[in-house]
Amino acid sequence: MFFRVIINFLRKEKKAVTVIFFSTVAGTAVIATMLSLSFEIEDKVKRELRSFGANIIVEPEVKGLMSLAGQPHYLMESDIPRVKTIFWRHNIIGIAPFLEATLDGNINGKAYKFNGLGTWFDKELPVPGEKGFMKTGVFTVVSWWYVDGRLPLKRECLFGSALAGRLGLKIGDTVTFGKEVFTITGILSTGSREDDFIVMSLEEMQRIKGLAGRVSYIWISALTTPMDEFAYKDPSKMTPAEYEKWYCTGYVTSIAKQIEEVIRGSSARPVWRVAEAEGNILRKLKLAVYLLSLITLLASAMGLSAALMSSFLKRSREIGLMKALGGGGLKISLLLLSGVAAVTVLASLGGFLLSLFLSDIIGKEVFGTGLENRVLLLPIALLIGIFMTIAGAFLPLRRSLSLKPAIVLKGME
Amino acid sequence: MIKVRGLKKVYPSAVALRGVDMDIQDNEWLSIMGPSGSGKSTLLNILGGLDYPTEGSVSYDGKEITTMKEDELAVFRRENIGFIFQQSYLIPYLTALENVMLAQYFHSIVDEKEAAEALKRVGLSHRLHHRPSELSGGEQQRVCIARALINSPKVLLADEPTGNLDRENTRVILELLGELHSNEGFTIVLVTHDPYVAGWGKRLLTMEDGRIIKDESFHS
Repeated sequence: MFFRVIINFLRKEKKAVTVIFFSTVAGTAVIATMLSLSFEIEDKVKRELRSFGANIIVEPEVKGLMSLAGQPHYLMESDIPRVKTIFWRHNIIGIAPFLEATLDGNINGKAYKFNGLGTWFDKELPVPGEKGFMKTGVFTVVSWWYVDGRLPLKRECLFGSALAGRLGLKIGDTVTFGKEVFTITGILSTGSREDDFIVMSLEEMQRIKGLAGRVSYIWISALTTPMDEFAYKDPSKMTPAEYEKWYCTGYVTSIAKQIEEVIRGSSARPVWRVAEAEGNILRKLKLAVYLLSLITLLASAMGLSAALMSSFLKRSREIGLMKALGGGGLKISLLLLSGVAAVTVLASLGGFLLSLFLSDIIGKEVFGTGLENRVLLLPIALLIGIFMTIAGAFLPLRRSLSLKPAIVLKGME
Repeated sequence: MIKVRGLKKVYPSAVALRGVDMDIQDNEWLSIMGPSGSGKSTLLNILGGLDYPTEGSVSYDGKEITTMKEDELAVFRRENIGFIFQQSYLIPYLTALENVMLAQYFHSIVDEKEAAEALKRVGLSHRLHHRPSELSGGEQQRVCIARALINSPKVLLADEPTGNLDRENTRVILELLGELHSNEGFTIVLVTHDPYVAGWGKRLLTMEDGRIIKDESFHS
């Protein structure tokens, strides 16, 4: 009986079936893609936003009278691998230590005082307790640094573009530090203060300054959870339960705290303009995705509703008869919606296939890779199809179930 | 017993019932006659819980139905009433068997064997899988009778059940109703404007302008 009800609906209500099918395909495809995007958007966008630069800076902790002594303070390079042992170690995606110091140099017999900077360019950092290495370096935290030429090796350096411009230097020229001659292998453009620096490998900088194993500060790029109201609470005033929750959430503040704990004598602080911008962008993107999904759902449900309203109107007598026979709302609804359910299940499968295609395009166009959680799209599409059917059928069903059988059967309505 | 007291029904454009009082005994076959617009179908609809009166009451064995909510009335209808309409209201895309099973579905659970047996009782065992369009008017009305009786109702309400049939088919349907009434003992309230049809009942109410003007009993 149900089978014949479904077949009749498919055969006799071709217009309604077409509208329901295409509304559902479009709706489920767009919403499934959007929701699947929203599951991954945080991770994908976080990685994209890491191009904003480091979001945590680690510096030597200067306490009390130490600040008055005027002596530079350093962190130990050997402590850096311990960053990969913290609770949120997998969220650390870039580390770049810097040793900053003045350099007495000589170019063509003329003496200069330069600002010098040593860093990792392409470092394979051993991860404690693991066999592998973490590939990291300055470009993992400042993707916008541009080198015209090549990266320096032993007794080589880069000249900041502003500095090179002022001194009229080019690639291949040399500069002497003490008795050591360094060749310029590239001109560095950063758009910030490093354009006035000489930049070389950390090892070379430590060697010529006699500061083996020392670094001035460390830039760290970490994937973080957007800051919310709770994240801004002062950890020292939290209850033990709150502190545990805060510590185990990937806020930039809690990650900074954990880094401080593993690097001796350090003070780690978030770069707020980066951290907050990331949080805001993520929040707004997610809101946009959810709103777009909601609008699509409403539009599809309205299409479905209009088609069902017209279909049920044509079947008023049939519905009146069902009521006269003592049919309750639930059983009549099941009969009426059996055909619609068959169409929406098929359409949801169509929507799923379309969402595979859409998610692939969106993933590749926007993030450079397809979305990963594609298997999730099928249950999502089916759930959306069911929800859309319920939302779209609500008003037509309500109207149909309120028909007065005596009036409808007499053909007066 | 069905008790009707002070039943009035007022539509925006007309008054259908102007105060009807009557009692219908169990197992009675009551015919209601009257010209078009006399209120007989309105009375039948209210008796069957398909419509609400403007005023008055209808009770079945002391149970008032005019104060019931829609869903309570639906339960009441499926448990107690079988309907036969003038036009054989059948679902056109379902077979005779499925049309009978539809009433089972609304009542409890479908039982194909029982539905086929019901159609056999009305002489349609050879037409189980035919659609309404493949059946004659008399056969369609017999499907309606099978559907009306499948859930063993206490009362059968028939609104011009032979209105669209020729004399021969009318006789066949009435004989069938008479046989089922004798065997199963349900109450019949049959509305008609045909004296021949009305004569099959044991009691005849004549209505005019929303009132009962005559109440006659026949003893055969």
